[in-house]
Amino acid sequence: MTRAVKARGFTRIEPAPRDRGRPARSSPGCGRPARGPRVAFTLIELLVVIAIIAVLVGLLLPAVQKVREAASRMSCSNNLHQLGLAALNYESAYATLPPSLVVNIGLPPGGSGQPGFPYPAVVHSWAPNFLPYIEQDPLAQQYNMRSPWFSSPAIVPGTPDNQAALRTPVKTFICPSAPGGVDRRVSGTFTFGAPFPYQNLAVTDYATNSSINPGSITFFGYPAGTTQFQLFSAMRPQLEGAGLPLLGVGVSKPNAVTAVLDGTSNTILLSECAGRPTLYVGGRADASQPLNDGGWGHHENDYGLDGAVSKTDRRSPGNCVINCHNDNETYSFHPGGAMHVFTDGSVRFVRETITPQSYAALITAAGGSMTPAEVNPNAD
Amino acid sequence: MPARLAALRAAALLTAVFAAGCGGGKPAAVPAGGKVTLRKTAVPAGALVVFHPADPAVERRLGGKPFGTVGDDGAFTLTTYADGDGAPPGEYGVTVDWQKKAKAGGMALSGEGGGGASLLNPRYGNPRQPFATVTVTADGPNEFTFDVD
Repeated sequence: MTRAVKARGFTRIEPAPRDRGRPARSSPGCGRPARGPRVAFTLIELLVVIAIIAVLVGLLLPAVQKVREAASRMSCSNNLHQLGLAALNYESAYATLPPSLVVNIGLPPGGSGQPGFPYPAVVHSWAPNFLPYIEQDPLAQQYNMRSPWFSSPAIVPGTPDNQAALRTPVKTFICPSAPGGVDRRVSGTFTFGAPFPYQNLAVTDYATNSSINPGSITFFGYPAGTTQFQLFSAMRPQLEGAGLPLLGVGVSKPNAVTAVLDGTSNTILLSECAGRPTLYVGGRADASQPLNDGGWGHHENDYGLDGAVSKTDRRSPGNCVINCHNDNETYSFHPGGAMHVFTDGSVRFVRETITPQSYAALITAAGGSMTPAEVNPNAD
Repeated sequence: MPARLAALRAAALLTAVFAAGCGGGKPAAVPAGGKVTLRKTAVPAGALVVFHPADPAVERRLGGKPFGTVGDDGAFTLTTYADGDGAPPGEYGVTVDWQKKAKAGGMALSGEGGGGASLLNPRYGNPRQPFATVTVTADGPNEFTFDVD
């Protein structure tokens, strides 16, 4: 038998207990014809259940994402640690830290017998020197250090195909927190006397922030006239050749670890500049202006600190030094800061609330006591 | 009911604590700017004016320092947290640095950086011994005029 239960304004048909199997009769006061015993949910019940499930999923989803980000972050910091150890192994072999950038330019550039011939110069990013120390020997063999990174038989027939090596993704150079993972590719043209096109290079999320750019030195608290050479980081450019005056720079040799006078645990070796070649400004992707650097072999992985005005305004200089944009500034996909490997091989998370002056002090290798932050870089 | 009153008081206290926690962050910037002249007659267009907080603890509280770029008319507007928002009230040491524009040529390694030798007397660009000390006040007018050589 079924009976109508009136509760809170709606009517529900439910079977009476211990009535199953009996012939159904019309319930008194209910106009419906008699039917078999029926168990069903009303719309309201279903909606309530769905709402509860939605709330539970809503609670769970951020937790799952947090766990995923934590795992990516762990892997990201592990990569940096590997690179830190690689740099120190390189130091054991060559008595200097790896260069942040290699340039060897002759006079005249690209002349017969000059470095890089028939290209105008030998140019490398920081990354190729790390390959033998992160178990990438075959790739290191494939990359020719006597030719620039953009060397390709498609540009000058018969020259080494360095671009082919640079199309191979290297997991240690990728931070898994960055969208796109190892599938990201970058193409463009590097104009260096002549245009040199490059296609589909694999990217890196790590870069050397090797100095303070001259236009921003007073902003970061250094006296005007301080040169970039005084403010170089642990990894600094290796610049040589008679053609250097054409680039407006002087000779520079990579640092021995003993030249890191601020202390290896107070000097950043590599920073994150993640997400390239997509331009990110304050967490938002700006698809309208893709970056043309970010390839692990591209020399523009070496740059100087400028900061940005804010997370929405990427003009420089500015008080926003971490996580503002990834166009040659420190940028990560970890909330609240970015991972850095220091010259002692330790990986530390530097928070984005750090003052620009303290961050600059962590970048310079021999800032001495030029600013209050250089005296005590860990005050923040 | 005393129990409910206590609960209400606790809630009010918590709200107050949270409100204070949120409001106790960075001090707000007030409009500030001014003018820079070069030997009273010319304009060092493009020079960087930086207001260094006299107390390093203030710099940590601000998360940085106010700065501005001199325009073609010699005027500058300070920026701290957002473009042209001014500077938080306080005492600052001022530096002015003006550099030669990097020459743009076909042989350049990077579009960034550039700059070069300072075109001004270095005494205007020493943050540890600033050539001028100014105070930004909450009521203004925070208009500062500097002459450099």
